[in-house]
Amino acid sequence: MDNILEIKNLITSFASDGRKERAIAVNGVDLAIPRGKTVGLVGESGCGKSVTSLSVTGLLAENGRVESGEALFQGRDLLRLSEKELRAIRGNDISMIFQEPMTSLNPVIPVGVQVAEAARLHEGLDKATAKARTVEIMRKVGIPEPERRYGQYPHQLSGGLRQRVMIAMGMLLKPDLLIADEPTTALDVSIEAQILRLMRDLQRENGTAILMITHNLGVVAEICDEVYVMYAGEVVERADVFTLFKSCAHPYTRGLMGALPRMTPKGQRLYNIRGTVPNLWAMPVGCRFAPRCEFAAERCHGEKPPLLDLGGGHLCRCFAPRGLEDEHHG
Amino acid sequence: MKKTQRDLYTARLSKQILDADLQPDVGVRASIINMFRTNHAALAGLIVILLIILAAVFAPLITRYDPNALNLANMRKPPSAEHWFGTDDMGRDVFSRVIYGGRLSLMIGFVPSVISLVLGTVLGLMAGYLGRHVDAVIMRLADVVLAFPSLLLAMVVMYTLGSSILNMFIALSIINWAGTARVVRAQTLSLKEKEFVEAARSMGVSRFSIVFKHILPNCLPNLIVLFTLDIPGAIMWESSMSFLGVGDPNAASWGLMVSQGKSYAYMCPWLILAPGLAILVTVMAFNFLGDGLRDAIDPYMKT
Repeated sequence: MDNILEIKNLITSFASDGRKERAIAVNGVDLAIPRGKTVGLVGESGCGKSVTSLSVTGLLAENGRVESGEALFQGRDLLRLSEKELRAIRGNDISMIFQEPMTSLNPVIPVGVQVAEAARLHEGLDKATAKARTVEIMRKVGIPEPERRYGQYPHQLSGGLRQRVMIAMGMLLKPDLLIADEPTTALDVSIEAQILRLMRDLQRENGTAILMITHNLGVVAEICDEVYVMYAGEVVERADVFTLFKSCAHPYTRGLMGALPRMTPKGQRLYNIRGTVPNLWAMPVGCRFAPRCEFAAERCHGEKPPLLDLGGGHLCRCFAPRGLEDEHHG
Repeated sequence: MKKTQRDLYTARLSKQILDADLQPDVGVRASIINMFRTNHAALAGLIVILLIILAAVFAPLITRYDPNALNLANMRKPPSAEHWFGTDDMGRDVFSRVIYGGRLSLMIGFVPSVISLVLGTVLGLMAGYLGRHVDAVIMRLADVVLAFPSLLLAMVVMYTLGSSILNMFIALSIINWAGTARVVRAQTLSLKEKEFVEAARSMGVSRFSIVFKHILPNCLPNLIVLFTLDIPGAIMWESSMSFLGVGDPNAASWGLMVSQGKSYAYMCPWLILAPGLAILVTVMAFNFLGDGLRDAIDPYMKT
């Protein structure tokens, strides 16, 4: 067991205007990221996957609060560190890449200067050394003419280039963990593949572990070693990537798989999971997926299923986990 | 109380920023250069301002007479080849006095504008970024300032502190910071939710650096416009106050010259026309420049 990050029983809540109770956005998530591996965190919008990563890095919005849990990183619990201690870790040991390369870069600061900022901040490099290092990493992430690009502003770069700049920023200090929050969602498919390949190459070179937050199962298949599926603030399934795609067990995961467009005979409709994500203030008592589950039984509505081990580290939060063989939809 | 150009601009800007997500200011420099090519009023404004500044700086080289040299044998003479703008009731050369008065009036335009710009920017950034109590305190303070008629407030300050040029700076700074603070706060509120701020935080950048290195540069284009419109405002306020007799009686600014010349308005109109025109030209030049800059910088104004 050599995990770079171990999240245990993380609970995060949000205050909301006009309500007394706080909404629980993340409800007891356990997650472990092995050193140098890529872990996927999958789920639909609002399921708490981004909140999980923001809780760990102390970047929650003002109305958010970590209620309990721990996040062990290099033997320290990130959730109990001061803002100052966290700042020393952020960008240096843990860095993040965000979804929108268009808006993740400051429009009025040259991109090179933005990348170099982390080096100057954490390693105290002088301007010239930081620039040399930045140009080198920019070349490495496949930015042509890095010396010229260094002084350019974000609007002068294409979306793909901008995301490469973000990756350069994230990888500059060879962090132990890179949290990538939907890094390719805003990009063309062809650029997406390039960016994923780039991240994998850099990962191999630096031994960086990646937490890949995405709703795209294609990305998961491409890059992840292990996958956690989240639904309504809880982990509902965990498996290595092969097991997940071969024999996922939770009805929600199976629904996601079924909703992937495939080459099927003409006329078949694309499967979709009925209903919508439950309201944060009106969570079902039992299994949170029960109201949308086509296999839900009486018990599912009244009792919360535990995270069962199906063997080999394959975890599933369901009373009646299924194999892929009795899947009929899709 | 009249609304100045600047007030209107401030009000519109605050609203706009809150209404619509401000587009990132891309290629501002190119946009400004382009504006000067097409907007000749702004270009003329810029040239006139430069000329006025040069005249003020090199005043001794331009004028033939000491602005304070009395010549009682030569009182209230109309403009002539000797005295371009005539002489005043004590025989002083009006042209010299206008040029030297320009030094003072420009200083009165610049100094309080710089002070209120810095003050308004820092307070606006704090209010916008820190939020909560800090925001509440700063903005209520701004509301109080904005609720008073500006001229009245400035006059009260002058009466309380006494008539001196330094107190004039203080009075003008007090009436101007609140508008700037509002604009900066509004823009900060919108900017701090941007992903690039989150990205900077995720790199371990401190709050201080985020505010001053990441948010402030994004506010600069608007601040430049506000500053350009602040200057003529301050010159106007000072002139009004000097005219009303609350200015520094020893500082021969354009406003004071008009005020002193008003007793001879019918007999010797050049005594008020010369400094009056100086005020007019300067204020218009700054307003043309400010308007042009605003059009170049503010994408919403373009039609």
